[in-house]
Order: sequence, then structure tokens, then C-alpha cells
Amino acid sequence: METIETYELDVLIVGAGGAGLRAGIEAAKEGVKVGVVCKSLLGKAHTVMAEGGIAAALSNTDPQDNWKEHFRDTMYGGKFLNDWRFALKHAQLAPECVKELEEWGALFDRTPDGKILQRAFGGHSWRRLAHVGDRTGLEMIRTLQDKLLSFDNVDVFQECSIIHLFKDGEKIAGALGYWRETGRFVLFKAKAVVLATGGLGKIYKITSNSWEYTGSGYALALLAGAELRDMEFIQFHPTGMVWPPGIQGILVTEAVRGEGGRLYNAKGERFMQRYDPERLELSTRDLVARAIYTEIKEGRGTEHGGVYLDVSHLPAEVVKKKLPGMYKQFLEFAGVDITKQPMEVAPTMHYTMGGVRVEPDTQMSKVPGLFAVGEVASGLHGANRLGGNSLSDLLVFGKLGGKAAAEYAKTIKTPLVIDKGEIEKVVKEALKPFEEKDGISPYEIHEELKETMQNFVGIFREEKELKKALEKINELKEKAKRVKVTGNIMFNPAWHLALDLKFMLLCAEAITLCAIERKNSIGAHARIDYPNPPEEKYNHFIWLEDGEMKIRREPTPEPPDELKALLKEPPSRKWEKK
Amino acid sequence: MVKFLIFRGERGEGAFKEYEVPYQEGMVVLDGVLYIQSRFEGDLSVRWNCKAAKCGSCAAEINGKPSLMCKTRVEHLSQPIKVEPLRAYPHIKDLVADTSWNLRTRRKIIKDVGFKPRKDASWIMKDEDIEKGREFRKCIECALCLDVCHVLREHQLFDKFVGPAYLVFSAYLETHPMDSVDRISWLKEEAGIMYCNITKCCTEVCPEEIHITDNAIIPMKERVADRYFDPIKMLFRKITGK
Amino acid sequence: MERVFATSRRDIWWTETLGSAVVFLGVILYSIVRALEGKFFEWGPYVSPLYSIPFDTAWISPAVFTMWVPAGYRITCYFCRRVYYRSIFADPPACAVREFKRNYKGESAFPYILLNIHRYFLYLVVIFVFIHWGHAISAFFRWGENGSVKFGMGLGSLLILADTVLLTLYVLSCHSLRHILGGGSDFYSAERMGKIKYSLWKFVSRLNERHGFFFWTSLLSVAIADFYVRAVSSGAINDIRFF
Repeated sequence: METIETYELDVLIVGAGGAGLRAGIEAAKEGVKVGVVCKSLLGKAHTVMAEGGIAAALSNTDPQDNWKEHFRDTMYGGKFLNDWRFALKHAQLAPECVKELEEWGALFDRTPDGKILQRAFGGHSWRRLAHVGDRTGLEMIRTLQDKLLSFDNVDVFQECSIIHLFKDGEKIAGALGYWRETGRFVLFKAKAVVLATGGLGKIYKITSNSWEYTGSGYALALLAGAELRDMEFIQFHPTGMVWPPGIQGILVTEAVRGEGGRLYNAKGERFMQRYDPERLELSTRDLVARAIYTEIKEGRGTEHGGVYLDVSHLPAEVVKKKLPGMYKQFLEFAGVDITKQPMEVAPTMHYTMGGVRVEPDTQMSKVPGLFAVGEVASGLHGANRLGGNSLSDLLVFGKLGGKAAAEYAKTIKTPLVIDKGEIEKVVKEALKPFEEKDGISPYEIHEELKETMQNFVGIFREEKELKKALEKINELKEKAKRVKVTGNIMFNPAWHLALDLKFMLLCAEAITLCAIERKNSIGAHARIDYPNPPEEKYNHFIWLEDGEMKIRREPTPEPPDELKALLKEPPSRKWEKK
Repeated sequence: MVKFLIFRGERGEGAFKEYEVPYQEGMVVLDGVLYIQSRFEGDLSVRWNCKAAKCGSCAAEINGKPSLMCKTRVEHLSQPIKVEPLRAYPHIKDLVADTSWNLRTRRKIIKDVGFKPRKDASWIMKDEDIEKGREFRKCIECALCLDVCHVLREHQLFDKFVGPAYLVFSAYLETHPMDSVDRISWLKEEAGIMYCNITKCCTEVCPEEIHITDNAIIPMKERVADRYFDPIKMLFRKITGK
Repeated sequence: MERVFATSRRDIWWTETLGSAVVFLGVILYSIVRALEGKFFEWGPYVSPLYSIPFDTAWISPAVFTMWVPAGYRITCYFCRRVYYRSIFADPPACAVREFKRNYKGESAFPYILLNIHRYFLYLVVIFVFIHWGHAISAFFRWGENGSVKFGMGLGSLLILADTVLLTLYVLSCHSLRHILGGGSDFYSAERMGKIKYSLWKFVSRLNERHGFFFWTSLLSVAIADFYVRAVSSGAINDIRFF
């Protein structure tokens, strides 16, 4: 075999969204050699799509807000299935992480006295989201990207996909990837690997996620011996676009409701009054998504199968100033002027609360040297994520994980060895789709997977459908072994998809398995056949044993008494009452 | 049915190939390209991500006009719709061009960044202070302006001129209230701002409707003129020693 | 390499290029001819805008002494530069259209580097704006036979006024002015006179969005007003008098 292009690094970061970039910055500050690998061009990661804002108790807009309130809201939002240690760190560190962004050049919306302005969001008791109109994610990713690029000890590897992690004994030792452009393989020898690969939206048909969301991080972690937690909790964002068909699922930010947008069904009823009369449109996402879904299912939906989201009662200038992206998006794609007409929206698969099980202080998984940050990690969000908490999640745990990874790398003194035979095996398997004579198109398998997950593992779930899904996934796994691609290895999307299929199928299996096992309804997991909440709080853990997926449950850790005391009073729209 | 003519080939060598795709309401060019990819040509190379004109990945030339494929509706286009890669850059394959110059350029600029707080160590800024920067921060780095700019596209002065997108980026840094770096001589000597002859094609193609020429480049040219092309100011500086 | 003017564009891209060239060159040609003519620039209360300071010289047209100011202002104007780079020098002829390959230096070298003196023409042209307002106001007054002054209005008064207003807007929307009046500041809320600078910058910025429109309309209005003045002055027509 010809020699593979090789890079020697201290810390390899897989993914260049908010979490990966933030981890990269922190690792770079430690002076170690950092490499950031991303599947797209730098700065195109899905964080740019984040719109609403970063949840952090800065107490600018509402001085009464503080980390305790944020901690409480997050725990309630997650139905107490969150690991409180994450929620605590998150609530305490988020404000300083937002201020760091400002010091690195981010231009947030301002209060009249020149501080960072904050807006209201679902499930948050105070106006808490630092934002930049409705393009907060873009501002965040640019700021982080530029900060990262200012370090000399950082290399960025664009358009490169990681397909395998290597271990030397128990410890992580590196990763194998391929350049999308040339199709050539590339080896990264690294003392620590930080997964920051984001979610898995592309296993669903209607999703707000881009093609990059293939769940590779979950699968790489599983295959390397790490554990996943609570994969059944898939967040369906209540408001995605439904028309035109080409962009079905594209996100309509929660900021629309945060700024005062109202939901109506086709009969003109403000239906949230029936589902959550106290918090209405700004209830938690799981609840609003189910409410919209129910309205549509029961025949009160609109022409294109959605409900109406209306901001036309707000002054047109306010809409254009605070929601310029949405204004443009609807005008350009749907021909709808949202200052005058209502938007049509329906739930869209948006986020994975579950993910790699990591330690709250270090973000390290069970595998020494393997870290996970951002959406691919788990622990903070429990059974349902609050809007705005993911951007702060990226910042807080990206920072902690990056620092811990660099510190860990410094402790590795003996050189790590990667088995040559293993490399050859991975390369050979990766090239197999080119040799298949009469196999199946990867697009076809992908289509079937998306249909299956959308129809059987959606917002409402039922035993027999979930079982059907699992059966179908196993069938697709067999088909995927015979996947065939044409053309050469240069920038070949079919081949890329063929390699991603393996990851997507593993994720689909994990989600379905967890969903079958959880015979109750809580947060984002709603079972028609088991509508009641669990009697005791517990989490699911998943791992691979000789290629078999295993699952077990552990009781959710109880917070200590002084924190429990904070959890007495439920969240409400306190800013309206002050 | 919608007829497409798509450039297929590697490293600049290739030809247009015709495809037919069923029309769907509200269809955009990217829908057509992805349809062709999933049904007929699995290895058709194309960059795309968000599909909502927010990430700036799917830049291409559609009927000769640099555009984002994800927001160009097919019903407004004359058929067959000709789709080709960004022509200013070296070609890789099909609709993908080698834009790695962009990252190298951004990195060169960001090396010299220094935000410092106010004297009282606070970061108080008001709406009016960030108004200019806010427009520049809308840039999604789609490279359409870089592709259409004749300094890069026609004259290939990639080593002398940073191009509209990075002049916008420089303008953001330069107008940031907390910025502490003097960028004027850099703009003139390294960024090559004088290569721009303000013919405004960049502004015409910007999907974020940033007034690249009027609000970023010309104000920066004026700042350069303050230092290098204003004899009275130069004389004044000589005398006062400032 | 593909030939010059090659493009994949499907629209008739050259209409704008050609149209601009025709109007731009037409007005220039007309202005030069008229400026050198040296007569028919005054009639009654009217003064042609091409002759900002009308005085009689026996040997050369008075326009020669003044016209270089507005002409220089226009030639160095950022919008005007766009017009002639595209329409006259085909550099580029239009967006995404092939152009001549030559040693391109843009405005980084002689002669185009000289265009950076735009601000000095701005200072001078501001004086001309005041002079033109003088002409515009006096175009509404007629001298009676016995030295009395009477308010009156003809088509010429309106044309001269319109030209003066457009010239004023063209100058007020100038990029250099925008820079001088506040565009050069970055921290309005913390700077001395920041509030005023900000308001001035905002005011000019709003007009600046229409700078191109004011360029074209004021270019045409000069020619039209002059043409009218010449027509009445040479006796080709009588002034259309409203009152």
C-alpha cells in the first residue's frame, strides 16, 4: 500500500461548528499543536443556521436574572433527566463565555445603555438570549473562526471527513479521514481527539439540519468503545417551513415567537391556549411541537399541512429590524411578506439531546483521550432542550473540553502506535463501494432510512411502529453492505454518502432501541401506548459489544440539597410580571 | 420539465451536459442539481450546506450570473438553465472550484487583530457605534463578489488584491469601535484596495445585499486618501508631527 | 482563452453599457462644444449652468475658466468612475463578461491614482453650488425698465432651479463628503461631537444611496437648462413665461 499523508498533532478536533472552534481556541491557548478538521469549508458549519440567540444570565435586560434561575429553567426544560452537574456549569459559565465573544469582536444587539441586549425565549423565565438580530449563529461562528485562525499553532483541514478512530491499547491514538476533493486518505496521529461533529438530522426526512448532520460523531464514539446516552430524545423544532416543498423543514427561528409571534390553526384559533394557557407560544419546544402536530393531524391544519405563525400585528419596522433573516427567507422562498401575511409552519427534526456520555468537567468519554463537545455530547439538556441553550452549550463545554483535551495530551509522553493492518483494513473497506458490480445506490438506501425514521420514530411513537423501524433498519444495514457507487474518487458525493450510511444506520438503531426501551412519555419522547411519565427518573446508556448494540438504564443523579432548593418554583414568564 | 445544462469535468477540462428534471412549485436551481445527483449522476460534485441562503456554500454561475443555487428560483430563468462553477477560481470538478485562497486570505488579515476595551475596561458600545460593522457582519463568505470581481476574475491578481469580501472584512475590523490596529497602510500596500476600480459588480451579486462598494470599499479608500493622497493633511501632519 | 466580451449571460448585458456610453459621451461632447462657443449663455434673468461665472471676454469663452471645476468633480466622482470604466474603457464592460487582458493596475498607478484628489474638487464645487443658487434665485426675478425688481417665472426659471437642486443633491450625496462629515469616525457615542457627526453621516448616507441617480439627472439637467438658455438667448424661441 502506498504511504498515506500523515499529520502529527496533540489535539485533533473533528468538526468546526461552534463547539469545535471553541474547543480549538482553548486547546490552542494551552500551546499544544491543534488540528481542526471539517467536512465543509471553514465557517459553513451548521452553527451559522442558529438564529435566536445564546442563553446566558448576563442580567442586562432583566437584572433579577442570575445563574440560579437559568439552572432551574434548564432542569425544568429537561424534565429533570439532565445531569445536574452539566446544567450547573452551563448556567454559571455561560455569561463569561458570551462576554468573551464580545471581546473577540462580536457585535451583539445593544441595550440603550450600550450593553448586550437579551430577548425572551421558550421556557426561560427571564429575557436571557444574547442575540444579533436573527443571525446569532453567523456572528458566533465568524468570531470563533477568526479567533482560532489567529493562533499559529492551529492547522485547519477543510473538506476532510473522518471515518475511523484508532486506539493504542485503551487510549485514543488518531483518526483516518479522506479529502473530499481528491478522495485520498489522510492519517492524523493525535494524542487527544475531540468530537464536535454535531447531530444526526439527515436520518430524518423533514429536518432543519444540513447534509453534514450524518451522526458520524455518535457512531465513531460507539465504535471506539464509548457510550451514548438517551438517544431517544430527538427535538422536533415546532416551527419549520412547510412550503415550497424544496425547502420543507428549514428552520423558522423561535425568536419569531420570542418577539411576540402567535400561532393559529386554520380555523383562526390561538390553539396554544388549550395546551399551555400560562406560557402560550413560549412554552417548551416539545410541548409546542406536539400541539402543532396534533392540530394538523386532527384536521385543523393549513393548505400545505402546517399552522399559521403570525407577526403581522407587530409594526413592520420591528419585524424587519429584529427578524431580518426570516423576513427575507419567506419573501424569497415562499413569496410571503411576513409583515402582512402569516407564515405556514410545522415541526421539523432539529436537535439530538442525547449523545456521547462524557464527564462534566473534562468532556472526556469512557475512552481515554476521546472527548466530545456540543450536540454530539450529552448530559445538559435532559429530555428536552431549551432554545438558546445549545449555543451556550457549545461555548461552555467547547471551552472546558478543549482545555481538558490539551491538558490530557500533555500527559501523554510515550509515542502512540497505530496498527498498520488496521489502517489497511479501513481503507479497503472504504473503497469497497467502487468494486460492487450490481449493488444498490446509496441515495436509495438513504431515502428509505429517512422515510422510516420520519414515519415510525417521529414526534409520537408506538411500540409496533418502532419495532417495524428496527426491522427496516436491520434490512437497510444488509443493503448497505452492497452499496455501489460509480465514477472516480474525486469529489464524489455518492461515495461520501455511502461512507456516511454506516454512521447514520448506527445512529438510527440507537435512537430506535432507546425509544422502544423507554416505555413512558417524557420531554421529547412521546409514546401513544405509554402516555404517562416515568415513576423514577432514569437515563439510557448504549454501547457496542462485539458489534451488538447493548442498552442499560441508570437512575438520573440527584442534585445536592442546596441545588434542589432552587428547583422548587417552576419557570414562568417572570419578565412580564415584574 | 426543467432543462439544465450542467458543466461536468475535472480540472477545467469538460463540457456541458443536458438533463431534464420534473418541475416542482417554488423550485430552486439547487433542487434540480440535487435531483440529478440522486437520480442520474451520483458523482456530480457540488457544494451545499444549509439550503436557506445562510451559509454561502452553493455559489455557482447560473446563466452566466454568479448566484447562490439555493435561492435562485427556476421559474425566473430562461431554459436550458446553464450551471457552471465559479470561473475566477481554479476548477476542481463539476460545480466545485478551489476556493482555498479565501481561507488563506482571511487568516492573513486576522493575524493582526486587537480589540481593546474602553479606558474604564468596559465594552459599552451603542447602536450607532456598531451600525457600520453590523452590515459587514452579514457577509456569509459565499465568494460571489470575489468571483465576479474583474480584478480577480479577469486579471487574476489574487496575490495583489484581497477582493471585495475581504475588504468588507477589513472594513468591519477597521470600523469596530474597540479596534486598536492601524490598517491604513496595510489596506493600500497589502490589501491592494487601489486595484479596485469601483465598478460595483460585487454589490450587484451580493446575496446579503451588503453595499460592498459604497459602504465598505469607498469609505476605506477615503481613509487611505486621508493619509496618502491629501497634500494638505500630509503637510499638516508634517508640521504638527502627528 | 475566450474572446473579449464572451459571457454565459443570457440577458442583453450591453444595453446598459452602451446606453451609458451614449448619454455620457453625448453630454460631454455637447458641453465642450457649448463651452467653447462663448455666446448665448445669458438671457434676461437666466444664466446657463455651464457658465457659472458669466463675464465677457473678447478672446476666449468664459466657461473655460470655470468649467474645469464641475468637470473635475465629476471625473473624479466615485459613481462617474464606475460609469466610464465600464462604458468607455470596458474594464469590465459588464459583470462576468470577458474584458481585454492587459497590464491592469486599477487605481493603484498613474493616471487613475490621481482620481484620489476628489475631495479637493468637492471643496471647490461647494463654492459653485452657492454660485448656482444665486443664479437660480435670480432666475425668478426680472428687472423692470425703471430699475424695479419683479418676481416672475418662466420655463427657464424652473429648469435652472431644477438643475441647481439636483446639483446640490449630487454634491450632498458625495462619498467624500460622507467621509469628511462623520464617516471617518468609529465610536460616535464616545467621541467629541460624536452625536453631530453621527447625524450628519446618517443624513449623507441616506442621500448617498441615490448618488448614481443624482449623478445622471444632474448631468442631464445641466445640458437641458443650457440648451434652453441658448435657445432663448439665440432667439430661436421665446421664453415660455408663466407670470
